[in-house]
Amino acid sequence: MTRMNLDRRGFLAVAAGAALAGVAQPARAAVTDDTLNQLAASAARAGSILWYESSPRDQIDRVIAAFTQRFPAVRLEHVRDTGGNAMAGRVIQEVQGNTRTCDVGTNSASVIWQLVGRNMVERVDWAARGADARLAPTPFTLLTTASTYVILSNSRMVSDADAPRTWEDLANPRWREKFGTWIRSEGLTSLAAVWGEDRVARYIEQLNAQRPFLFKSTFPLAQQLAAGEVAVALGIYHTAQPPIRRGAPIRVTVPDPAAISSLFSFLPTAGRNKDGGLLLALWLATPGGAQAYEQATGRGNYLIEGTETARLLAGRTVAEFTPDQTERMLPILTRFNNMLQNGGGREVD
Amino acid sequence: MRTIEALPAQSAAPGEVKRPIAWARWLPAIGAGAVLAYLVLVPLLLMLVSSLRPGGFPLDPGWTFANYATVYGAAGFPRLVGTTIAFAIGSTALALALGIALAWLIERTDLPLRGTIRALVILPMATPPILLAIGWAMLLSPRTGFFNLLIRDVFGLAQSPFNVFSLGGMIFVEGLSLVPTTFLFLSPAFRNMDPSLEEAAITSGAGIGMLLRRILLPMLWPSILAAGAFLLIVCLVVFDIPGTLGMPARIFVLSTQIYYLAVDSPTGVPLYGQVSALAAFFLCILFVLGWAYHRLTRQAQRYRTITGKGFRPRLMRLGGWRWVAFAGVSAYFLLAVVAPLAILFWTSLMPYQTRVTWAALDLVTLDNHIDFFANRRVLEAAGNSLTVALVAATAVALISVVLAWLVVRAKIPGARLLDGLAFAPVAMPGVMLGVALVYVYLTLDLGFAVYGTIWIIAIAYVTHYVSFGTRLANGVMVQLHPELEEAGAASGASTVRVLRRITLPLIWPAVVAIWIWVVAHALRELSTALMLQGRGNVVVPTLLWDYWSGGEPNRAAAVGVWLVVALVIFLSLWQAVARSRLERSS
Repeated sequence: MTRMNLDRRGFLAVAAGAALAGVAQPARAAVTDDTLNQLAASAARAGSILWYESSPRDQIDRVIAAFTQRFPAVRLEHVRDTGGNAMAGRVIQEVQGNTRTCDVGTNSASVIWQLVGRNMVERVDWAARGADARLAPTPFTLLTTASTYVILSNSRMVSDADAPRTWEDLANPRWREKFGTWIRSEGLTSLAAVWGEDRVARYIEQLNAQRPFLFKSTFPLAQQLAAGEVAVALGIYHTAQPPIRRGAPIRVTVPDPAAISSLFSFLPTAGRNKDGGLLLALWLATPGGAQAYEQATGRGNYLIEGTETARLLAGRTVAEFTPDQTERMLPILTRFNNMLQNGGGREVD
Repeated sequence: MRTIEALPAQSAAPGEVKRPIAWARWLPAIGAGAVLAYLVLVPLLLMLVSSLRPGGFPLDPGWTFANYATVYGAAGFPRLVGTTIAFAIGSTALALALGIALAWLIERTDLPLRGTIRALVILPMATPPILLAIGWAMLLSPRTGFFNLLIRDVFGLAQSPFNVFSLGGMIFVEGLSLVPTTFLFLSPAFRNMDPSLEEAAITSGAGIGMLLRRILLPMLWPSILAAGAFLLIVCLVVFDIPGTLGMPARIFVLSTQIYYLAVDSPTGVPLYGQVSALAAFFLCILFVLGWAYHRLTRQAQRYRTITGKGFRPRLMRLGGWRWVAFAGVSAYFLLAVVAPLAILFWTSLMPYQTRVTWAALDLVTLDNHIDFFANRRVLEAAGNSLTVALVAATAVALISVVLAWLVVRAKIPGARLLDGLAFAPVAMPGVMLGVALVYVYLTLDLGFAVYGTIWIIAIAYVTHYVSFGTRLANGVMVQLHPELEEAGAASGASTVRVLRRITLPLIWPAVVAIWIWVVAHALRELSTALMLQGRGNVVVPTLLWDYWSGGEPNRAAAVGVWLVVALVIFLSLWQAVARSRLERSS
């Protein structure tokens, strides 16, 4: 691994040509056991691996157990990121304060893009390590998991026949004041990668006419759907799983195109155990690692065969901006966020 | 004010504690200033620097005013400020009205079951605000809210009468949630009042309204003002209730905007520069409030109610109003304490969030409570939480009493500056306090690790809560006439002995109130703990957050229930110790 001075343009240049949007198909190339075992040997000598990631601790305990079973000599420690942009803030402060930061982090392209802009992310030749090009759309990011946007309905309040199944169904006026969604527009922004910005903007105006309940997270959205406060919702698959697992009357439908928000693993340049960070990132992109992660957290890698997410998205068009399109995506996200928050389709400066 | 001017205190010489020689008078100011500079000034300066950095991180290169231009030039800013001020003033007014009434009834009258009510009234403080907001959403939401459904069934209404997802709903819930704090602010002041003034007024034929207007409120003005200023700033900064109840209905306030800028902005990095620029607005309001407070209370002798003239705390007889007052307090108690705690308990027994119905009783499970105790981190987190809470509470109580004495009584040089510094942290958003402390302890080599340990959380709490402690201690210190301390000094007692034997016992109710308030808040505080979390400093609220953010509000509610139980045990122990002390001394 070599440290490079990269600006935003450089980041985009090396990332050019990578594209995730398209019909979901599993990745082909695979990381070999030899590669992982060699990395494990040197990672064990370098001490523990420090991982910043946003899942609850008891979920990641299960991932750590699976990792330790596979690599008994390597110690993996997890610090929970509180979500949103917090991880970028933490890494920047730790690097500026010259203290230990994570060896590997998992987050969205927009967060990693900020760190790349500050020369804080390692450039890795993922292909040389056996990773499929579709898993590694840029030298800085390796796909680990994705949030899948789904249509949810309360099965006690909405019959099977009436349940919305398509994006257009959600805009049906029958759901006026009975519809809830996340206050952020990541899913709708991803949809714009397939539908185009203007079509999605018109669609948001239709949704706003429903007078939706806006939630600051999709977790309480799913709970309020279970409680009956809203009858239908645009939510995220894995955040609906906790109440579903406990018997809540929630029905899930994956629309086509399927909007997703991917999370990638990245290696900070200031990480101490670089081989350890690389080991974890690559292991999470193997069938064993991806399934362990998905079983623990409920969200998975749709490009890895055998995952529930791959089955969920099979045959559907996957809608998402690629990491190299971050610069183009951010203004759309801002515009859509404003449209949702302001309601009625009128945008706020 | 005329009633108060009749006090003997008014005729007493406005003597203060004996002045030491000139240069020595600066020593306490330097000492207190050093402590406050370390705790408050450094984070404040880092926040200011952050607001002037293009990248928003204090160690980033370059300077700019762009953050101020972006924040204050935004088209929606005036509307945001208007909504925020309406929310803050409404919530503060409600909390003050209820808090004053409760403090007077509990401390000054023969209200039945006063002791029990006093202990229970502060219980909601142990409930994390996020759970309180969810609880109220379950009680008053238009479609599934328990009270709405009940009223609709009883009166056969087609529409729900209440909608908690509204500005009125936000004010109602925030106001109720701040009543325990208001009560703790005011109860020591009420307890310290000489009852002869009330008795004289009643003997002269004054009714309860006149008594409140002409005697109680003017006399308690410093404490009420201090409480009001504190609550107002808290309402400007608070996020949980506006975030949970306002967002679904698109009602945004400044704290919602701060959350968006710090966590959710689509830039991929927290916009700390803009957060700090917004926080400067809170600081300006805070300084205006501080200035107004000093203007309004500058004639401190008017408010002195604890004088050399002996008095025994006597209770006012309410007569026929006794049971009316009890019914009113019970109604408040049911609404503000029993209902949210009951819904919290109900949620903790459900597998997922569900409305309160007979049919839902079939779903009752203890799994959430069992999971909590089966969590291998519970013992570690409970130990950490308790350590942090006790250390922070003791430090805040100590610092607050010393600062109040220096500022109000000793009137050391720079007293107002020190007082302003002590008040300032309440205007700092938790996220910016966290950012500042991370920098402080990443760059400061103390010889031992602070970053990533429980001590950085404890320091953050001391910094944040010293504003509450000093407001409360100042309010009570103003009531204390110096003639008692002067009598002690005249009898040959040293300053320390006077403080220990006279001042401290007289302000002890305030010290205890500060201590309990800080313990309760430190046990439940989340945003700073999350910001400062590392590998070895898990606390109970971060466990709660794990459940909450993992989509398990029912497990989070179970943690909330056990936090309330912990506070009940804590308060019971404290009351038992206080009772045995009282018995021994009598």
